Amino acid sequence: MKPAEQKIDRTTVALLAAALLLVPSAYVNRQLFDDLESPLSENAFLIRKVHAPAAYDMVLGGNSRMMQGMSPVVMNEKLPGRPILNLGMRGASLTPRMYGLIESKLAPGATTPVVLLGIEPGTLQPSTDASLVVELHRSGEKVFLAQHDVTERIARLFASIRPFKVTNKISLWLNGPTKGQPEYHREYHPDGWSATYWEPEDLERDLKPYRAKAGECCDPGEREPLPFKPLLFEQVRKWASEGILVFGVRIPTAPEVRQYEDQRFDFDEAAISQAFEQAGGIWIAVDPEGYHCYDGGHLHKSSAMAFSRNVADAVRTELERRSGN
Amino acid sequence: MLFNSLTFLVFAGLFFLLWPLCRRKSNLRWFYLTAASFLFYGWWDWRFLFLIVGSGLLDYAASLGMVAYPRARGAFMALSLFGNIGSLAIFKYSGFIAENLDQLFSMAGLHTSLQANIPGFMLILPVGISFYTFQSMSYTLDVYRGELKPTRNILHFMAYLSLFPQLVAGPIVRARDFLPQLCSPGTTDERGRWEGMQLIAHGFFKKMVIADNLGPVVDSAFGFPVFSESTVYWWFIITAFAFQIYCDFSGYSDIARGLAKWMGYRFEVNFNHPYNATSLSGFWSRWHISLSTWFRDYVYIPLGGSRVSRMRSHVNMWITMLVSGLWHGASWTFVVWGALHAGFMSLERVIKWPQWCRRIPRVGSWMATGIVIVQVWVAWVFFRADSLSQAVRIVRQMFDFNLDMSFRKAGLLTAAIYLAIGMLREVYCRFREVRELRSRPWLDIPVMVGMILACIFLRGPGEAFIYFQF
Repeated sequence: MKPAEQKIDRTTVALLAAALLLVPSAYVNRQLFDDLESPLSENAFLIRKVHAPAAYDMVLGGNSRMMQGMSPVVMNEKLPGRPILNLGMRGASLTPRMYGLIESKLAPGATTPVVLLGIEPGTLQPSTDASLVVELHRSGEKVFLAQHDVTERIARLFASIRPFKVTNKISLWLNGPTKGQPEYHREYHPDGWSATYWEPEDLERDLKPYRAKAGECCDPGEREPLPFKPLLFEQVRKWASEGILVFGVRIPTAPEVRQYEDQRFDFDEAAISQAFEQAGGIWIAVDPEGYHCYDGGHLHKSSAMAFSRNVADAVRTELERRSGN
Repeated sequence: MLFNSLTFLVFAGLFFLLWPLCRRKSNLRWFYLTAASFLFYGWWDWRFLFLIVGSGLLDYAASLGMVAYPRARGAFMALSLFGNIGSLAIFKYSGFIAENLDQLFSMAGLHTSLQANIPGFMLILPVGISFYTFQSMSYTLDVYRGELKPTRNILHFMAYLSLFPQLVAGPIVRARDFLPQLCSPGTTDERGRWEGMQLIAHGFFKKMVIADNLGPVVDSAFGFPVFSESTVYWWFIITAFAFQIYCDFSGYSDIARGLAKWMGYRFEVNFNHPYNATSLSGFWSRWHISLSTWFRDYVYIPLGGSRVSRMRSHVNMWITMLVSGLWHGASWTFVVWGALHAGFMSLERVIKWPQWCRRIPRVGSWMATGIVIVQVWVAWVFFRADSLSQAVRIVRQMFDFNLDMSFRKAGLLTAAIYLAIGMLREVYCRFREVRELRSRPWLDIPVMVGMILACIFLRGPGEAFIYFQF
């Protein structure tokens, strides 16, 4: 008599069962764990921006505050017909890697190429540029899948589920939407903007550490140095000499965050804006009043749109001044 | 071509579709295996196919030369060693050698810039060069020792050297074990297919679900500019790395063994629950077994092994471990990693602590495993660190007993979940082996389906296998 396991071909049965379960699993994955409101998956969003072609008149560089704070599509309301890309990346600094990437996205034939940099303590201190490095080293296969709408849609069905999404979902089921975990909304747009906000917000919780540390820091002589400052001015000088119009802006944050960063780091906005302009750049001074950050450090979707309009206005004014209109 | 890519899925699908048609006709089988393997390797960069073909041709010709001209055996062996070690020196170690020569000259007051003048192509590390070079060298060494009759058919040799499942990250298979297998058509039955399937699924699970989810936390800890002072943090990070590298590397070996099983061939076990070892020598008989035995057979034993004076035996072991460290990478961190293992093993031989531990009732073997883990973890710091200074700083922190818990916790919970899954999987597999549990289709098939779906929906963000760089 044959042993029991030889009566059925276990490999075929397992593979068939997995194939059959794949479709309902993908459907459940999409319904439960995907950000349905987002035009792109996070994966495709990051790959598309990092592997975008050299086809833009204006490129925005910086970290997550830039990524979440400025919408190129909204900027186009004030700057029509000008292709704009937001290259802001989570945890990124203004490193030679970031500068090189920005340069590589500018269209060779652009009449007035423009670069807009998000400048703040976070972008002027060393970082691993981890997410940028990861995206730069994606395999050709992953880049291909992310860059085409059809393959992106299919790949999105099979997106990996992060554990925190599962715990959030369970908490939502158990406690309901009001008492459950707050939900983090993220929209990944093809222009490189990620619109984000918490629902409900808990600004008190997010600002607590900043308030607690506000008194700790620091005498001017003890502030943490920002080693990438000289590199910034050197790069602005280089770009300006090549005919690239370079704007700098400090993206608004909550007053507590701003105060904490000013005290802790060697970041004197007046001195930096002055040095920036001396290097050939144009500093866009922003009044942070009136903008809302959902977690203290990142602009809420609606504020990001308003901020994008205002910055685009300032850029347009400068472009018009230069062209003599 | 990576195992965990859609390209490989298509490649493997086509390969196994045509395999039953090709395997029965001898010449067709050899050609099919070689062509498929070259396609697999060339997908990464076709230009480096010339290197593997060149290296293979040299060893193929040298082996035939040894048989045709027995008096010149030594010269042919030297030629083969020169070619193989030379290609490793050019593609893997040239930067390291130049950098150290520059520093040496600078100490002597001479300012050279050898490193800056290395041609660009020498700085690209061909994937898997250390693996296939060692495999090729083992062939000529076996022929030289008279333990293997060389094959006259170049396709036979190339199929053995470049067989795609193990080409880029092992296991390093010996010609005397594997060439006879390749001579058969390689048939499989239901049991063979199922065992292959289990190996492949476990391999992918270890790589994609465990290793790739642990990777980002480890990378972030080693790459973050602000150094954490917490002892708890660093022990967690190094534990995560220990499981990342184990799951990454043993995952690849499992996939390779499973694919070979589907073809009807057999690769030896390459990892056998290494973190369960109760001595460091036991660890090395369970970790990367194909490489450990390679070094044992072609370095340690020819140096005299243990059949010499006690002192000389220690020296032999140190030489073997230092070379093994350097095999892993062209950096002093890898040399120190090898030296640490050698040092720990010397200590083990002298004071025989595992035997003392085993005498302690009930907890003795647990204690021994704990001591092995501490030693292996400390050595892993050097293996992973970007520099010696970083490694020293981390090790110091690991034994500083700073119980501060105010470290960056981003991603740590996720890592802890996957670490726990990895450990549980390991314990479960060990339990099944020890109890010799029989296959139960009603349980095994759902577990298999669950693992396949987990590989798809719980996969981590990583891509390449760590050992590709060696």
